[in-house]
Formats: sequence, C-alpha cells, structure tokens
Amino acid sequence: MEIPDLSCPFLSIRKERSVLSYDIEYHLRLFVDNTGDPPRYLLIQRVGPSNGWETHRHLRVKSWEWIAAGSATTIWRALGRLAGATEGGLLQKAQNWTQTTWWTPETYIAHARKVWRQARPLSTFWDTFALTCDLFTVSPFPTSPPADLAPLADLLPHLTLLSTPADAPYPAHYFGAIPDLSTLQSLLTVPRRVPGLVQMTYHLTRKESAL
Amino acid sequence: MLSEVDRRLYSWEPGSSALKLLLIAEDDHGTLRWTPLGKSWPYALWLTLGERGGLVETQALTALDAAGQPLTTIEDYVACYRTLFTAQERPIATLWDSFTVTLTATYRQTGDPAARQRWEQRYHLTPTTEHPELLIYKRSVTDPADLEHLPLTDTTPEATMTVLITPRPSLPVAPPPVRPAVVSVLDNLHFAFD
Repeated sequence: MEIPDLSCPFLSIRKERSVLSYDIEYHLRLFVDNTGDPPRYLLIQRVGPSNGWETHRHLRVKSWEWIAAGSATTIWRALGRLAGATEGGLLQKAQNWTQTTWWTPETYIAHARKVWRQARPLSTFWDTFALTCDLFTVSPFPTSPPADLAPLADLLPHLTLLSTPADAPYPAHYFGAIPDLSTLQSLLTVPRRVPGLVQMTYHLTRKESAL
Repeated sequence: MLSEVDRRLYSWEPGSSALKLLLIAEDDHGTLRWTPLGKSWPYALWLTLGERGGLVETQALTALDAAGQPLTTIEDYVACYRTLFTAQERPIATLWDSFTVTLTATYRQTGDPAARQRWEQRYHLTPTTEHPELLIYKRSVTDPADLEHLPLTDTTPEATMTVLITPRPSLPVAPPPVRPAVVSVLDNLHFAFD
C-alpha cells in the first residue's frame, strides 16, 4: 500500500500554542511499510500539555497524535523539529506521574535513532490503533453526488451522517473511521474540494482490544 | 541545487540566551547568497535548525561545515550549530563590518490615514516615493538598538515591510573568532550548588 507524504498538522498547531505551557512526550512510535521502494513510514506520539489535568483521576491529559507520514525525509524533518523543540524545554520527557526531565536536541536525536531502529510493521498499526475523523459542513453531502463532487465518492462509504442541520446555522456532523492512509490523504484534500467545510478534526485512539 | 556552506550568528549579548540573528550562506549554482534564517531567541531558532538537520539526514539538504567538509547526519548538523552557539557567536555591532541592512516597505493608501501614521511611527519611516495609491519607503538601518525591535518581515493587508541584509563586497572570509566554551572550572562551579 502506498503511503502518501502527509504534512504535520498537529506539529504546526503545537508550535503556536507553546507560549504558556510545554508539551510532555510519553511515547514515540514509528511504523514502517517495507513492501514498496522506498519504504514509507508513519510516526505517532503520545503527548499532552503540561498544564492540563483530568478532573477525576488527577492525571495529566495525554493523547496519541499522528505526527507525520510518508517518506524518510518527512519523518526525519518532523523528528528534527521535535528535537529542536527540546532546546528551550518546549518538549520534555515524562519522568513519572508528575515529574518531567529536559532533553537536549542531542539526547532527543539519540532517542529518535532508537525509535527509528525499533520501527514496527505498518500492519500492526491498524491492529492496535484506530484513526477517526469528524467533519462539520454547512450543507450535507448529497446522497448521490453530482459530477463536481465525484472525487468525494471514494470517501462517502467511510462517512456516517450523525446529525442533520434542523436549522440553517447548525452544521451537519459526519463521522468517519479511516481504514488506511490513502483514505486519510483523500480526507486531507476535502477542505479544498468542499467549500462549505466548517471544521475537520482527527482522533488517534488505541483500540480497547489491544490494551 | 542549494547548499548551505557558511553561517554566522550575531548576538545582542554574546554568551547569554539573548536575542540572536542567524545568517546562512547558500551556494546557488556558484553564487554565494546570504539569507537570514531568523532573528529570535535561541530556543525558537533551534526549531528551524532541527528541521533542517532532519533534511540533512536524508540528503534532502546539503550542508558543509566551517572546514568545507559535508555534514551527512543530523548529529553532525546539530553539533556544528552547537559550536556556533557556544563558541562562535559575534557581537551584533560587528554585523555592519560585513553586511548592510536596509529596510524597504510599501503602504497601500486605502484606509484610515491615522493608521498609516501609526505604522510609519512604529518603523520610523518617511515616504521616499509618493503615489496617490502606493507609498514606498526605504531607509538604512545602522544601529543595533534599531534592528533589535524590527521584525525581518511584516505583512498586513495594506503594508509590507522587509529588512534586507546584503553582504558588502569586502566581506571577510577569515574564520570566525573562536572563544573557548569553558574558560575555567570556576565558571561552571555554580552547577554544583544548584
């Protein structure tokens, strides 16, 4: 399966909001698809802000985030940016329940090398994780798309309409489970193809069966 | 193909984590082109440097160290810049020995004249060319205190502002002054008591 070169949306967001808090990395995992030439990669990170706490368990908020996918250059570019973020403590390492320790770019690169050596087969990613998305549009996609919405035909089987706008100002809410990275690439181009798109968010979760 | 061959780091307070200006020289098919990579605090510059180091790792970017040897891994690239930050930074006052700094700006007169005056006062600008619709500004920057408060670029719907840093023809090619990273053991003694 061909993994497309994908940008790093979460990485760019984190750069913007790194003013009052820092990010704590809990896990970093790399998956590799060696079936093609050159091999393709998927980089995910379990990460959370320093100043967000769960209400009941009093643990820090953390979630799995999709960082980058694609060629080795895309992955190393993202790893290098994460390494650079450690210089001023924007990205720190989880030490235990509450403590963190500082990395330096040099030590983070050594950590990234270890992750690179321990890359797992991409097939195990889909066994362990689920990648879903939420789309909010002003007008719902038509059930039988006309010619200008023909490129969305490949996505419609993966999308479920959760709520229809009863009144005009409320957007329609679609939920989609992403079965492979080709579908994810198609979803990334939806904002260009659908003018009425209000918001699109992704969620990377660990499957309960894999816990 | 662009290749990073030289770099210079100017600091407003050398030896501290104060504001810094990072310039890189790229070999563009035989022409040396100096480009400002950023004017910021070190931690913000390292975000870009790490990203470029990742490109060096897969040969998407070629870079040479001070001795002209190619940097092939992200570790080499980071080590090169670590040396630059700890031992080879220069005082900002010496920037004008090698470079000239010029501020160019344009302003499209469509809105409030008071907003234009505030914008001109912010950058200490007087129009050099006036047109009913477009004002053009150009002035040279010769003071470190002036450059400290200038962003390298500033773009708004009405205005664009760019600080151009161009090398003088007499740009010296001598290696940068090497300052020892640790002068004496006593300098780092405070770490023992922290």
